[in-house]
Amino acid sequence: MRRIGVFVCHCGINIAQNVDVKALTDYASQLNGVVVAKEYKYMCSDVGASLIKNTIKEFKLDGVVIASCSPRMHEHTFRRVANDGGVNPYRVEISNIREQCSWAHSNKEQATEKAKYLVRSAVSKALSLEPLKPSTLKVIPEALVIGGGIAGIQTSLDLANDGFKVHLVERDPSIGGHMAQLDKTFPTLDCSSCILTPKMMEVANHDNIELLSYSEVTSIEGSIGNYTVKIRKKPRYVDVDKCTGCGDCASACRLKDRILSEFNQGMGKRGAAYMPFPQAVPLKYVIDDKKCLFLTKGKCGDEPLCKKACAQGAIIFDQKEEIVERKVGAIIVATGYDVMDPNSVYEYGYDQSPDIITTLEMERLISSSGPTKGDILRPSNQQKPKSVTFILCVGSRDETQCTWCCRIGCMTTLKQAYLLREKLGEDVEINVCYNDLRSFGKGYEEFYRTVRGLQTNIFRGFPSEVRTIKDYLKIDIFDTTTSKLFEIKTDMVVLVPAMMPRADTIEFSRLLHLTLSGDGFFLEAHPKLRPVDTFVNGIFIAGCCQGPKDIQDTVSQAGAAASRAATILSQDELEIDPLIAMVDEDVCTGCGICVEICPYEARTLNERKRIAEVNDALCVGCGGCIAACPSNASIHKNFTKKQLLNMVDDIM
Amino acid sequence: MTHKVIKVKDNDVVGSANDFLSHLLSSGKIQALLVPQNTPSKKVAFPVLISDPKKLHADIVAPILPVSTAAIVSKMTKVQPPSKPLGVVMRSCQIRALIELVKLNQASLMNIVIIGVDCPGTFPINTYTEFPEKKTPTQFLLEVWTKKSDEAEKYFRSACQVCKDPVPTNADIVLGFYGADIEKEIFVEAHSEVGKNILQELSLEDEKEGKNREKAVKEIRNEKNKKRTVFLKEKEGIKGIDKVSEFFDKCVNCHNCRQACPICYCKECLFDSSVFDAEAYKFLRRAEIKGLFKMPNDALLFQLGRMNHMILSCVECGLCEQACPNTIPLMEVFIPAAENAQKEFDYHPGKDTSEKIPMIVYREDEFLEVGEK
Amino acid sequence: MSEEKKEHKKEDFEPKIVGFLCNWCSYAGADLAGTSRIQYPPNVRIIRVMCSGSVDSMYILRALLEGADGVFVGGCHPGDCHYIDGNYKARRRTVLLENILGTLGLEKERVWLRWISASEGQKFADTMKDMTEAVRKLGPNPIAKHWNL
Repeated sequence: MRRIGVFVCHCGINIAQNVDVKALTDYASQLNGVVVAKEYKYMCSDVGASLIKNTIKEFKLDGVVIASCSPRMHEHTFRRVANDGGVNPYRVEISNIREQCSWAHSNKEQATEKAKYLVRSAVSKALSLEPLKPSTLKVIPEALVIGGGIAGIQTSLDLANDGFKVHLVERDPSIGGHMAQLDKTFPTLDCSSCILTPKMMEVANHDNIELLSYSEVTSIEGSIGNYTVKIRKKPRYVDVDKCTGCGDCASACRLKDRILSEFNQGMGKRGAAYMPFPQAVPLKYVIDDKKCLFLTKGKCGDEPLCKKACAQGAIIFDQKEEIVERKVGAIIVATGYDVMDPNSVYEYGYDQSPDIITTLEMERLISSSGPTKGDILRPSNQQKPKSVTFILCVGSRDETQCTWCCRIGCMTTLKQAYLLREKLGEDVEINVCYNDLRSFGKGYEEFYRTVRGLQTNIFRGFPSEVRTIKDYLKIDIFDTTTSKLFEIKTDMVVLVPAMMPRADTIEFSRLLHLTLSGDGFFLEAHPKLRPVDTFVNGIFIAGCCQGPKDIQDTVSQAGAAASRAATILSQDELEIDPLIAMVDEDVCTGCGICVEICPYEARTLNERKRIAEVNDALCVGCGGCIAACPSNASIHKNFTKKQLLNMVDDIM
Repeated sequence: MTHKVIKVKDNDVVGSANDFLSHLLSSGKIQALLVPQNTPSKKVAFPVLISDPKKLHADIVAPILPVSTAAIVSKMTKVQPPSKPLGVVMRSCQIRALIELVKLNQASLMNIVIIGVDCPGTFPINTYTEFPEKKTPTQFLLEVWTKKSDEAEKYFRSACQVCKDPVPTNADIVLGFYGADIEKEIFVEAHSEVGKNILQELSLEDEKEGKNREKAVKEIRNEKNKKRTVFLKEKEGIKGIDKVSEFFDKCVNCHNCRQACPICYCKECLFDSSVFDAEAYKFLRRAEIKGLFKMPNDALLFQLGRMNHMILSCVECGLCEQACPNTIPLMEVFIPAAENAQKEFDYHPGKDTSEKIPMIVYREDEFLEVGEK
Repeated sequence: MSEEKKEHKKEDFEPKIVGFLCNWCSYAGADLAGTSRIQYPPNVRIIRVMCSGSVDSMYILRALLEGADGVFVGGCHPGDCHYIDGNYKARRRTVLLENILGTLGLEKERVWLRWISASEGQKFADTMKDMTEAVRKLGPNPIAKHWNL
């Protein structure tokens, strides 16, 4: 016979005011298999824990039911207490009589009645809970970081400095990400490349970091502590060991200054042999195989000029892509974001005039390394603008586009307004059309006040449309603070577009088995308490792939992700949660339904034994295979069919 | 497709078919043959695994299906399929069941040569053994067939009366009666490369009445379909717990139905497992809730649970009903359930091994109304 | 019969509802309803499961046959499943179960599958109110009076 103890918590008055704790305890003590039932004011306190431990010993309990708050709250606490008392931690069942009873039902009689059913069904489950022991797994003390923007850079450096080997995969030819495109950063106006470039150099030179640039992750197998990752290294057509970064190939390229530069947001030009930007890391050239005449047409004049120009003989046109494999214990995803295409808000006419640009394009205009060497010139006529108008929230906080806030639009606008005033002086009129100005961070509100003082016209209201009229742009705007409808004539319009999940996020989430939130960004395990964890153990997220954020928050999050990963990597062995699936080999027919249905590839068919098997390290304990199995061959430990049926019977 | 005929000699359909099968077996194209053959008492015809052509006295017409042929093929192939071709003579419902079992990894088609036989229908086992007419069931059936009368209808099992499709699909070779003048010939068609290769080697005459065959197949399918529609309409009445509980009242929870069902492939049925073992106090508590409850308990849970497990793959062979010791007309419930469920998921059991069983796949944009509101 | 009728008078009938809630979304949503002190009828009795995709239809059948007046299954919204696609599978299973119940006229309206996220405490409470009232309208589960199943 099993010996169950039931412990009913008052939770101060949180439970006691709506549930008759005494009646409930008396009721519980009468239940089959229960040898003792006790109540106490705060079961989670030290005194409560002692009460549980002492009672376990006194009554030789082999199972514990705690009627208290949600198991999501204190299951872990009570498992530890039970373990200390000598009961297997997996023989603890929590009956949620606070969140799902006393707090939700104010009629004491009804709530008490419901609590009885809940406790009875918990006891019913406790009677058949099996003692379980977590198994262990060896940890590979290396990490994979996907994405070489500021988030990936920071994470890589933190982990590398902690002494772990890091494999940083970046799909572009250089690391740096969006931050490398920025001129200054708000609110301190630090030069973006001045603070980023040293970090990029550190990545390049760090003994513990292997930089896999111009590469993509193609497959991930395994589980926490032991992932096998395949990475595709795209051909650069340049021998990186020989390339000195001198640039002779780029100068020689027949397509020099004839291809739109991605780095300059299409505002500058590059050749087919190019370096994305002067501070690129690695400082190695790359040949664009979608543009290069020799690679696309097989012919480049008499011979490819780049090859002729390269004294090192670093150009290799027959370079092939290469698949490399790395084994890691943890993965950090820092894949960043996409900027929304402003054309989807057609009324702002982004494609109607070259003078309608985005904030990122404005960054390149402001930047001294940009296409205009830092002169603010109208793209249409290369003249200095007399009036520049910013339109915020283009696609952001918009039910028809992106419902979320981009979190950087307001501050970017204020920063650019400041820089325009600095660069163009008193002559330029600066207008900002906004709905709410959100300057929430440290020093942000102060910065906002500074910009207000710089003769910036800030209108609360969005234009109905931006019209291109000959050589200027016209905007109708209704200012909701003054309730006035008026017209703005302006030379340039800067749209502040929404921040979007990267276009391939869904595809990528499947590769990693990650969950997305409703907005399409990666979903964190808990918005407050596990902000960089994902639901896949051993995979963490950092930066804008989790949701829009500024550099400050990105860097903090990157640090957090590194520290979370280090928690795993610093251990020799890991415990694996034992609440997973198993197979009764005598019952299994090897039909393979569970194998097909498992989204984690945790199940395989053993053709020889004609049974399905579970890879403990991959199984996350969702129980999907149990519901799919028509027999009792698939068993979810401590969520068995028998236990669930017993709970159903006893909850009624 | 190869169209040939077996010439019927001396008006002996069964014997002529046996000549063909025996020829097939001795040709070495297949190493053995699984085919219905009457037991020495002649009371019942079972699938018999024959390796010696001299011992072949099969009866491919015998209107009886004592056990699931698909389940037998499953038993013979799931551990290790034969290394050389094995011929299996099957009715259409059993081929459908076999296809489902292949999907469920419970059977292999490797080296299995499916010889499908047009099925006029089968009798319950006891009708076959105690056949009231003054001839054997096979003779009776062949006569009725030649006369084109529906005298046999009253003897057929209910599942056969409303058969989904009595003409085999997915067979390598089909032995066809529909459309044939069976006093003269039986159609032999190859429906696969394997079948074609086999038939090529046997000297058979070409089929001349192809048009008749096509028309007759269409007709029989139409006719069965009409009957099935009427049946479905009639059985709509078994609705509501009063009717359902009355329907299953005689169920003694013996689980013979699941034993007979080719789709119930579990080694141990969930409902026979320890999941349903319980302490005495649990029984007593359940009695307390309603004041009383019938033993053995959970008969309806078993019926509904089994239905939930197998109905999408149900091929309507009716073996469950035949197995019921208390003659519960299970098909009256299972055919409508199969029809509705399979329609819901646009699933066609037995049609194609590559069609995935519905419970292992999903589409994000389906059944959108379920779960919303 | 008259006695049974008296026993199950609709007005004073309190439906018994068994709820299976997935740990990550619906169960958390129910917790949130409590934390926010949003009140809803106490008729639902909750069983925590890891995923809506782990709810075997047999549990639902068992509850209905033992006399539950309604069975609720709560999962994460489509696309948000903690376990990637468990809710899509739960949806297919529910469709199949409802189809069978429908064929046999066993009041499939008593089975509800709904998507409730961890942040939808209010939606959870509203759904419980709606379901309690809808089931109250249906009346007591007629299966409850059958002891010969």
